[in-house]
Amino acid sequence: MANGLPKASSGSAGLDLILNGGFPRGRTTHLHGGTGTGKTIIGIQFLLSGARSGEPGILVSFEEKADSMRQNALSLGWDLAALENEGKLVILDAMPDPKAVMTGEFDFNGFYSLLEGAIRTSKAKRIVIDAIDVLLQLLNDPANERNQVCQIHDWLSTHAMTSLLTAKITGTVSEYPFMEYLTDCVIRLIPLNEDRQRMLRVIKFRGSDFVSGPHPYTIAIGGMVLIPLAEMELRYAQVTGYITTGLAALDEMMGGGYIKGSCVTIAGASGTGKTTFACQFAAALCNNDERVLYINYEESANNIVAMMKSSGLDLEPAIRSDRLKIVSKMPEAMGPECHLYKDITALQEHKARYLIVDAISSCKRIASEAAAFSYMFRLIDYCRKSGITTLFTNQITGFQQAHEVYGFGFSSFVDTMIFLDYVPIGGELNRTLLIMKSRGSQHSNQYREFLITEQGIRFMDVYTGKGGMLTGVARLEQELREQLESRQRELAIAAKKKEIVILRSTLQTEMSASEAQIEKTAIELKSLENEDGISQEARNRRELIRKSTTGGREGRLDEHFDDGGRSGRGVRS
Amino acid sequence: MKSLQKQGIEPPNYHLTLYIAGDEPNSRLAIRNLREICTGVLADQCVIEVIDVYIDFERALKARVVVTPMLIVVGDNPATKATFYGTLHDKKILLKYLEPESNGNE
Repeated sequence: MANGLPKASSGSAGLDLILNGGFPRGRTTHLHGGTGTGKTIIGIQFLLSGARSGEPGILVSFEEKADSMRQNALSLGWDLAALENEGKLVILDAMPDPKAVMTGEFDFNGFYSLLEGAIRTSKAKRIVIDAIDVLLQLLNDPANERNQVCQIHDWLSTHAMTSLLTAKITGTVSEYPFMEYLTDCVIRLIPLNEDRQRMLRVIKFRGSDFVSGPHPYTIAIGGMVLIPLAEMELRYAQVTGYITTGLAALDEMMGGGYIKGSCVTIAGASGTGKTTFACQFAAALCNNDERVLYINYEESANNIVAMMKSSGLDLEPAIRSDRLKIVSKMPEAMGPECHLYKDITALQEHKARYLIVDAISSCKRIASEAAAFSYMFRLIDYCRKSGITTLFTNQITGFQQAHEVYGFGFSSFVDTMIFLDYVPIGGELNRTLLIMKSRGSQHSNQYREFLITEQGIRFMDVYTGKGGMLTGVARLEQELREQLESRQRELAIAAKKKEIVILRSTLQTEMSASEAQIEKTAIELKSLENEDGISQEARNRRELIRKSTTGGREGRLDEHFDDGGRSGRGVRS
Repeated sequence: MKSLQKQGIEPPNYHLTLYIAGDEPNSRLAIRNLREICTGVLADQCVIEVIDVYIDFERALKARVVVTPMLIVVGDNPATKATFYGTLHDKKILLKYLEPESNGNE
């Protein structure tokens, strides 16, 4: 059934996907939404897609002058005038005169004649009427409005036009609710919310499957972009094997390195070395001829390169060879969908197999935590599907709260979590690393101390002594102290061993004595039990004797008991 | 009008274009109403043109006719343009526009 209804591409791959192919061919779709939701843009995109695939289109503009429409379209990279010249697009500038005086009856036959003429000359198959509410406002009579929409719908159907009728709404209530049941497909656009996301929702689609949504979308060069959740089935690319972290010691701790195609998060307070770890990874990848996209929300590309140089890492060769691409952007600059779209485009353009985002904690500044989550969730998902390995840094404040370490609620998407921390001991601040989680691989569960030197990151040997994790000078002192203690312990152990031998022989002696005592007590118990048996026997005999001397009484007792039972039952019933 | 002529001021001339969509009741009503309005003195000042949008698509396209009947009144002195939608049911409205001083009482 769903596949039976022919569709016409909307020009947006994402929208086509949720509409199961596009708008219904030869039928009418109603697109409504508040101001600034991009109704006109979606309309033009639909016509352009038609024009490119041999289906000319008509754009009826009731709201905007044709010239301003051409100009606005240019800013999205669309040259409408060129298409008009090629005969692939007709723009009908049909703005009603706002000062027009109404006197007597009128109808829209002039409009139909215009359309008919335009279809005749252009052989148009698609039409966008933007916005139908402007036309309906002239009527100012609900019954007539409904009639006219009916007529327009019929006219378009008769002419087998794939049509898009747009209308403005305020809030979620349409001024023309009948539009929703007169048309075949209804799509609602919801303006920017507090998370800086516009949402699209398919309300109905006669005779077709669809993914109702809401679906976040954005407007970018090239039109409306929608990256639907429908695409987010769990069909992730299968990537296996390890990839070096750029640090031999860390590779060893990780059981070989980061897992290809997985999501790694490095969390830690400011200055713990997250960026250094990320850059080590990037540099190692580029050394192996891999392509890396590094999205930085905190520093400019130049700053990172300079910072890394001071810790012995030169990123310049990787950048020069175009293997490493650093994109610096402000989280506040755009909404989450726009960030997502830019990132995906950058990944595709750079043909990156590895993505680093530094730092995801900054993404909260896009708008809200919800917006950041929406962005990150979809970005991770895209990478998973494409087999792209991701490494995120996450700046946290205060002491480790698991949920904070993992970022804003997407811990389940993170395969590997590395936690960097400062440990202040003996007037020193030392850096430590802990692999908190690493899905699908054997990994060290020890805290490891590391240094960021001019030659890069250097890990200290594992310290497994008592008294917990120690670092720096305190660690050296502790090691000396332990050497002394260790000798003392050996002596103490020998002494204890001797003590045990003595204790054991004492135990043997005591046990023999105790066994004799137990035997004696058992005999005493037996005689007591016998005594008890005799007295019981005596009691039984006495009772028997009593019963035989007072025979009649026994029957009366039984009778009395039966009566009681009966009356008891009577009460109950 | 007389006062204007006394002062030597040329009375305005109007070009009235009525767009209709085929021969239907609204079209006929609009034509009749327009002819009735443009009588007497106005008959000399007004040039009336009736265009059927089904026949002359080019003209309809140029004037962006959406609503029919639609009347476009273009005055040449001073240059003015006014749009009227409908059958011109209330003649006073148009009269008042063409003869501001008559207050539509003719």
